[in-house]
Amino acid sequence: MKKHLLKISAAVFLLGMYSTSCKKDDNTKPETPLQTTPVKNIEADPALNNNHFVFYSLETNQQIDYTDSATTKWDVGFRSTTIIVNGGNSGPGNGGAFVQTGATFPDYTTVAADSAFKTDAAPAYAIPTGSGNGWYNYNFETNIISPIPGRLLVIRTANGKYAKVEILSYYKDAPASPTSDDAPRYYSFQFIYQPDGTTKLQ
Amino acid sequence: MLKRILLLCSMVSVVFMSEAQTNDTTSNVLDELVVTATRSEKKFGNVAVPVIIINKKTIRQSGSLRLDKILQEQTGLFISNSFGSGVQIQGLSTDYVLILIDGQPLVGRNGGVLDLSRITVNNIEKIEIVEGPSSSLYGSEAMGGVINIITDKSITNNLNASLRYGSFNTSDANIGGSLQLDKFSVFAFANRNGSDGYDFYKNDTGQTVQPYYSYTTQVKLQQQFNNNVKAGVLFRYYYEHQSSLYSAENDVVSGNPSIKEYNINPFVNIRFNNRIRTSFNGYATQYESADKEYLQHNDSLYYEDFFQQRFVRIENQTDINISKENLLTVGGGYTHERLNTNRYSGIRTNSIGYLFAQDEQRIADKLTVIAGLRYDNNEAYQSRLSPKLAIQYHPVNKLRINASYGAGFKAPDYRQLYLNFTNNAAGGYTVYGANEITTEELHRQLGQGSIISITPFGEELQLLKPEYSKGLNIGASYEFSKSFFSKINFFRNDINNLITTEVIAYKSNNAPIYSYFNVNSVLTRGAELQLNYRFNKNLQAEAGYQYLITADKEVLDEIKEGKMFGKQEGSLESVKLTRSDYGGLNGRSKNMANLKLFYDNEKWFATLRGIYRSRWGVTDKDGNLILNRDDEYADGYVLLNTSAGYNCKNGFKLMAGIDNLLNYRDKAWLQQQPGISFYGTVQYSINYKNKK
Repeated sequence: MKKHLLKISAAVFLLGMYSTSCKKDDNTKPETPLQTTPVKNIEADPALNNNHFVFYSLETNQQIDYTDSATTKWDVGFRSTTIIVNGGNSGPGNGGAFVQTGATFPDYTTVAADSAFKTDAAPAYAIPTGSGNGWYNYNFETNIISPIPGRLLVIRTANGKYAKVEILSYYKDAPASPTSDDAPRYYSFQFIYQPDGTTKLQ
Repeated sequence: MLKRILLLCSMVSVVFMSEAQTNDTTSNVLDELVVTATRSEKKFGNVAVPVIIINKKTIRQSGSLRLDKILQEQTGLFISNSFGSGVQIQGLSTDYVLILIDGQPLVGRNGGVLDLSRITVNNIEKIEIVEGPSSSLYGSEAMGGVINIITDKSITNNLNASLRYGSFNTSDANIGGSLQLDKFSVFAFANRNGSDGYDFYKNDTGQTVQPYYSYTTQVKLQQQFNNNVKAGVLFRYYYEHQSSLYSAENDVVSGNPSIKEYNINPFVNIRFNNRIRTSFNGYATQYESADKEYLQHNDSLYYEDFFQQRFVRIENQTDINISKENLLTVGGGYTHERLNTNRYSGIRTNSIGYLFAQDEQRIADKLTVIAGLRYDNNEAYQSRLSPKLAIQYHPVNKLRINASYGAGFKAPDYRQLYLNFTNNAAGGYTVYGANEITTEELHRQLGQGSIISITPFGEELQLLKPEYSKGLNIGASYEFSKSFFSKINFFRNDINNLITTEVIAYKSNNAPIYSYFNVNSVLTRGAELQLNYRFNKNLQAEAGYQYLITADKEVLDEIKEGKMFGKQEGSLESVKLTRSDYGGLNGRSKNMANLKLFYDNEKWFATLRGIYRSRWGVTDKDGNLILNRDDEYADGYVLLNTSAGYNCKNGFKLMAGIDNLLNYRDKAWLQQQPGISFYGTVQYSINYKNKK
């Protein structure tokens, strides 16, 4: 029993160290942590966009007009459940991506050196389409599209930088438990973009 | 009150005098006969595999009309309700339970479910339920167990009629009788069942359960030629009609779906001598469902479905008493199936030849060992060998220890073999049954350009294997006294090669093409406890409990490897799941229990039956497609049913009952449960003693 107590107190102590180091000692570290950027309600309904993708720049954190689709201004594009990256047959950029399984957003901190980035070769996209293949699962009974928990999109941007993206919701205003009454094809996601070209994503 | 009932009795009485039917109060649970477990008559106490017997008296007194209602009151059986009422045994889904009527299989499944509400219980003598894999005797589908419905036999000259009326305008009328003429006997039965249904949501078009009616007729003829030869034929016909009404495309759709089912079963039983007897069974059945639904505003056809399944079988079984202690059963048969439906690209057939053998050796009245093996060979999928071993040890008079290990399998269903379906309404995806597409064909289409890519699954298309299971049951029964019987059983079932759909290729319009593969595996394990206690001559109690754990093994592996995530209610953040978060397969309750009280004397009977079921998984809310959150469950519930009856001396019996006394309703997940309902029944029977 005593042993257990010792272990527990040690654990509590370490935990304390850890949390203080996170919160207070950040300023003394040479590099400031990257900011997580939340994005809400990117409207990706092809019926409302003349069947175009809706483009987004992770570098500048803004939506890009579809007239710039043939440029390297954008990094990711959305149309219904399909997500493209600026490369391959989707765009002129150097973009690529892969779906990282079994990782939470904060836990995924570095793009591994042996990561296999894929480029779009429509209809085979770097981020695979179809329920269970890429970022979402489709529930046949409720007709709800849900992002698969523990899946991230690791993106190489049009300009060859790295970012991680977690899709949070496919419905307007990102309800935690969407129903058939919620408007679909509204992307909410969070991302971290590394501007310095390294693979570090935290 | 009593006076009134007596008055009612005399009012409806006719001049016929009749004898009260012999009271079939069970002398002893252990002495009841079971045929399904070994394909030969055995005393319940001597059967080494877990068995449930429901006798006629229980069925009658419980006031059940259809098979699903009486099964739901039994320990370890759970009635599921999509595509009709199916039954789960030991947590194995309804696809894996074989349903027999007088030993012959029923066909006509929809979405894998054989709707048990098709079966009236008014002509049932006894229901035998064998739990655990029984494919060594019965072949495909007998993976979770076998339910054998044994219908009434012609024993005496009698005539029975009954009429029941209850809530929701539900009526059930029955007439049946049997006749013994020297060596010839005939039994005939007819049932009409109908209801107005009920509605949970008044504002939408149509009802939750639409009005329906059905007819069942059955005739059995039998001739005893001499002491050693008996032959006969059984006919059954079923017709069901249910109107449909719902709104679609800003219009109202209506139709009249119907089901017709025919069964015919000629047989010859020959006893060569005291040691050898053999039986030949022929069987033909056809199940046909048809549905045409029309848009109301212009009478145009909105939906059409036609499904016809024929199943023909010849079978022989021979029993050889090698010695007093050794019984050998051998048999074989041939089945031919034919399917005609607008869901597939044409008529499909399949044939199966099979052989089985089983040997039962008793050793010094203490030990019984049963070993069995069956081989199924067919055209459309891989053949299958199903072994079984069962042991009963009977060390002292009151204690019996049972252990059995068996294999079960389920053949790929016709949908998985032959579906050829393109959904133009939903993006043009196509689903092929495994026998409708080959890798070569995909490559040919790739060359033509109609397909633009083939997935790794598409490169490995192959013949489907049957889904198969291995089941272990270990249990014991103990008779504390003549009036107190207990039974416990632990089980584990592993099902492999579960068939799922995968993308095999993409069309030039990007739409996926799917086909079927043997991929998943699941397990179910748990324990069942049954207690029967007789307080006195009149009052008896039965209690049952099942504890059940189920899991998809791939999910368990992913949890173990830390690769399975979920989201908490109200949160969009992914969190890692642990084993305790995982609730197993949908549609299973961890705890199920029942408590039943039966009182009867010569004049009266009364029953009170309670069923409890803990919460069960129904849906996925956080995108991981597994059961891990409280809001992914439907609430647990208690159902309380009661009934009482009075026997008039003149052959009339009166009965009344209340189902779902607590008026439990769950509009979302328990639509088959209408809430509290009442009924009253009048039954009349005449029996003549045989002259002999």
